[in-house]
Order: sequence, then C-alpha cells, then structure tokens
Amino acid sequence: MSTSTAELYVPDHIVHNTKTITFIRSSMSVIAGSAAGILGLTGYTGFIFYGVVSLFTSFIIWAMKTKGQPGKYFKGKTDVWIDGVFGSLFSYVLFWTLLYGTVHVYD
Amino acid sequence: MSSTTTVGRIICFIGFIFLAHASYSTYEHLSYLKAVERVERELPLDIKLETLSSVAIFSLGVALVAGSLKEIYVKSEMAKKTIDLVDTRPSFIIFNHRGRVVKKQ
Repeated sequence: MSTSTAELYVPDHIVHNTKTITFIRSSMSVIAGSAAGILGLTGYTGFIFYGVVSLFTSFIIWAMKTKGQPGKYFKGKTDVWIDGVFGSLFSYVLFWTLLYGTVHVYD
Repeated sequence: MSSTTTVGRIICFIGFIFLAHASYSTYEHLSYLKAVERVERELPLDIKLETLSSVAIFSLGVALVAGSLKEIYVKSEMAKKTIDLVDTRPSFIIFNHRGRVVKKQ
C-alpha cells in the first residue's frame, strides 16, 4: 500500500462514465437479443451467447473508450468488465423472445 | 453533434440494415423449407455470419456514438486548468483598486 497521496474523485465524471457505459451496454443488449432471436437460439445457448457478446462489448469499451487504461476512468478494477451486464440481461431476453417469435414461430 | 457521432450513427445504421436483412433471409429460408416440406435443422452459414457481423458492426458504431469518457481523478482535472482559472473566486476579487479613481475623471 502506498501512502503518498489520497485519491480525490470528480463525482460528476464518475456519473458521466457510468451513463456512457450503460448506454453502450443497453444498446448492445438490444442488438444481441435480436441476433439471438434471428439465429433461433434456445435455452442455455442464448445465455452463453449473451455472455460472449458482453465480453466482446467489454473489450470494445476497454479498447476504444478507456484506451487500455480503465483505472483512469473507473474506481473499481472490474467495473469496465462487469458494470451493467446484469441490468441489460432483461432487455436482451425481451428482444430475444420478440425476434424469435417473429421470425421462427409465427408465419 | 461532432463528426465522430455522425460516423458512429452511419455505422450503426449499416449494422442495423444487415440485421434486418438477415432476419428477412431467415424468414424466407424457413418459408422455403416449409414449402418443400422439410424439417428445419440449421440455418445456412451466410445468414449466421451476416447476423454475427451485424452485431460486431453495431458495437463499433455504438461505441463511437457514446462519446468519450472523462477522467475521474481530481489531479488530472486540475492539471488542465490554469492558475488564473483557479483563482477566479470571490476571495480573490479586489474592490479597492484604481478603477474607482479612473472612472471619476
């Protein structure tokens, strides 16, 4: 533990970053849900697909938004990978079932 | 609206078009299978690839639309400010200066 400086945060910027990440994650969950519905995934494979897409989204955020330095923009180390993943799961399931029903079930 | 946002929106739109086309292709494929009375087993590879690539394209677009993040540390925020900007507060205002005399003349 270093005792050199106490870290002070700008609360507005933390809120702004969380908002930006939530926007990206919710948009991606909508598109990923539509894709899962079109592909006709059922059961566990759909949730595995969501996990893969979330990981990909996290990588995009890590690479394009934080430019490989998430420590500058987030308080926690895992925030960039986990933040908002479970919140967007419900909109994923919504669009997954919607597109599956539209494309595969009804004529 | 910055040019990055515009580019991001265009990329998002392209991804969305791909997704819509993939869904229509799937629908057509399933209708064809029903018409020739075969059982649905797997989707053709090109439809799968189109769907997955549309997700990838859309993710790039939405990352561009979202705008940049801001650094959360106060020290990095203070590094951008000049000393004059920091000193612009009521404690540093001087009322007792030459302006009073100059304005009278």
